[in-house]
Amino acid sequence: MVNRKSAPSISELDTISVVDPKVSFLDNNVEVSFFNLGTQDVVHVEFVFRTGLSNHDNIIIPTAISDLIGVASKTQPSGKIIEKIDYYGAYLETSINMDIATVSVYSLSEHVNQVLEIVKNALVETLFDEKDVNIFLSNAAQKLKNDLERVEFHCLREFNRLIFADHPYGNIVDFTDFENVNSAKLKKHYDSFFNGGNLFIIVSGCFNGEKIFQSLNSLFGKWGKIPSQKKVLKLSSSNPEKKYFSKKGAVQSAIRIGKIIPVEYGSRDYFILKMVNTVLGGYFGSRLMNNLREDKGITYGVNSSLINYDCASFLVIASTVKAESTDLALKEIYYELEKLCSEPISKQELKTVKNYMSGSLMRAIDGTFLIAEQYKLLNHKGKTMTHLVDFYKTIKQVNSDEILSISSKFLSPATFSEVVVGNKSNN
Amino acid sequence: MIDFHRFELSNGLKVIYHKDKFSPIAAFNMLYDVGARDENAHKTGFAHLFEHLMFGGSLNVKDFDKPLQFAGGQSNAFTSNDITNYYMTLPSVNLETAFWLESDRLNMLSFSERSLEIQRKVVIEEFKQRYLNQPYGDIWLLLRPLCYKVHPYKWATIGEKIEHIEDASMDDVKSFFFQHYSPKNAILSITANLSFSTIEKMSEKWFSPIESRNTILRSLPKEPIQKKKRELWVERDVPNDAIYIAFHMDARMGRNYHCADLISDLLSRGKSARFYSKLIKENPKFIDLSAFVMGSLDEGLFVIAGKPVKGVSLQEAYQLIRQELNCLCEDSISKRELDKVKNKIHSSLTFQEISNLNKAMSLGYYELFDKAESINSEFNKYKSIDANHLSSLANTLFQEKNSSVLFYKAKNNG
Repeated sequence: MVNRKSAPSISELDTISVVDPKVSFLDNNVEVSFFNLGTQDVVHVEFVFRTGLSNHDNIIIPTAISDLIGVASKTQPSGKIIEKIDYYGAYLETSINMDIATVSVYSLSEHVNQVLEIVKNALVETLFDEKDVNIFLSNAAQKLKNDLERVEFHCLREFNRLIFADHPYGNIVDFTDFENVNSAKLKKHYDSFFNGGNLFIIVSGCFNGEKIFQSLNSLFGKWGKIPSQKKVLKLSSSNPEKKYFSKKGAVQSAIRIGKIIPVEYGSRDYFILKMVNTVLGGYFGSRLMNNLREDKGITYGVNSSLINYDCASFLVIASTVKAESTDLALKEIYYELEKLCSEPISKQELKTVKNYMSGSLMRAIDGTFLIAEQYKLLNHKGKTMTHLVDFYKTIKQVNSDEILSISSKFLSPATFSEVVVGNKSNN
Repeated sequence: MIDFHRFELSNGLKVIYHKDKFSPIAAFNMLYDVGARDENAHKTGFAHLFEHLMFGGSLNVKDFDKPLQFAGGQSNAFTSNDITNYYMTLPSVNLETAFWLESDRLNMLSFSERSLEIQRKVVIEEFKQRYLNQPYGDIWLLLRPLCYKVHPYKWATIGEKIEHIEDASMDDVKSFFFQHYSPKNAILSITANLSFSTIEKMSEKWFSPIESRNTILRSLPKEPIQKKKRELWVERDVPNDAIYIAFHMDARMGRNYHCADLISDLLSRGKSARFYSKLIKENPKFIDLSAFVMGSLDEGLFVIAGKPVKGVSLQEAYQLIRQELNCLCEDSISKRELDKVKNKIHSSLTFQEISNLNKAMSLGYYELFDKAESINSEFNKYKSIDANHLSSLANTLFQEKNSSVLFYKAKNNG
């Protein structure tokens, strides 16, 4: 008979192994990192520009640029570039966050060099067609209207406004921002920040490295090297505040509770804070999930995240809860914060979190594309892959005293700001 | 190309194993051949609620997730109208933990009253969060019963209404378990960097002692052929009008499934597709416009979903979409355009072979509706489709009498 009563024994790895990329430089000094570790004949080439949403007073301008890259160029009329990329079965995807903008190309290895030629045209000869810009603007304004109907979105927006205040991170889209945007303004911002002086490239997958390098060098090796003029304004914690926005008829309330945390990215304190965050709301077995979902059944989900932007780190707890239970949810969230700051974590819970996080870290670098994704974030922050090894080691070493001391240093409940959008009284 | 082993235990559990030499992480996927289509019409949403209860403890394991997290793993699950699928990823060295956990909950659930009480509440909050407290959230709750009059696809996996979830009893839970959760109703698919014999031994050890239960045979009413166009007008407090048009089409295994899928790509896969280039960009009449196939295991739906720009009425939006569909029916499709969508499918199928969890899930799913081997010949089914086949299918598929149209009107919108 098989013994079902006790769990099979488990193994733990003392360390993780990471791979460093092979790094080369184009003629204009643009850094290209290669992870040639794939098992399928596919390639991901990612162009990472060190410029994000926070790099313009009007957030719509960088948003529009990111959306319209690849639509038109000086030599290709609107729509033609993307048709060619699609023809090769490739994908061109753009994204932008507070600090960086990326252009990703996914292609079968056999077509990657042809596809890169098309991408060169899209990036270097970029043009913003007035008609495309206007369509983008009217559709984006309409989407904003839709989003504002969602309590979660409304809450996120007010929360950012509250904790980032006058900093560009707190610069929230408003309908007035859509006025006075035109292709000339887009072009001006694009030319200043989207070029070889502000760029690094990551190539991952399974490919002929030499050939891709030659291709990239001949296509992008002369691309203007204008020094970046980006301002970096450091952010410090502000006074905690609470805000409530009532939405009549809502059957659920959205909650965000968080604060800016003065902690250096990649420091030991930062790593421990990552662990504290996991205990609090960073995984399915977290305290907040156990309390609000598995014990009280007042939400489908609750989580907390420790997020690092270039100018600040912050921790935020987010949930959407049953309207009638809004106050209960708030009370329990503060209770869990208080508990973190006052009671040492049990050995068993700490061990579970350590093992869970070790496994997560392994998952996060499982395969060439994921490795490249991690490297992108690290490289942007001036770190190397050993950051992950250090993180892994810290996870293994930390004891419950350190968890308690970091919690009480940073997470005292009274220091948090709170935004609720919904219907506390359920009417 | 994904190579794999397959074997079956004496109790009927099928196991599919793909060795992934390059990953330290294993994926462990358990698919049960039961979904919302197998529910009682008065107790809808039950398959999904049951999925939640599968995490609420089994005979020997009080808490499903804790031991898995302790082994460095994580898990989740989803329920569709056709299947219920549970999956875990964890370091390959700890794969046995997954066998222990998954086999114990198939062997016997703990049927905890408290878990039922809590998960009923959690699922009700999920219902509200996804379907009631979102603009446009109730679209599928309206569209399904418009398209299906008889077949159980007429309700969504979350359930027809919250009351059905509130009423779920422990007796319902028990009978559902014994009727549907049997080794012979399940497919286990695994990717890991372990020897095949290790997988065989672990499967035997943990799963073969489990009895094979007499599950009920599926016998679902066939949806009669639709003979007349259906329309439903609703008004909601949303910022923008929306339109949904659904056409009945083949099941996943049907002869025309792949061709219909290609048509949906021609219309809306990416920014060079027809909907985007014509109706969003060239002649901007829509904010969003997309086409997709449901891919369900019984006869499915081809769906077109759009939000017209301000000033374009829902009737006009309908006509614009119809014109686009007529072009597909009447004009021949160029070789370049057809090659383009095929190339796109080819590369997306290749990209799907990268993640080990994706591979495990797909192997199990193909084994269910066809055979796992078919995963390697899927692209051939698209490759052989020509322009004639496409336009002839478009002609039958897009007949107005085969359509159900949901006009979703924004209140105070002119």
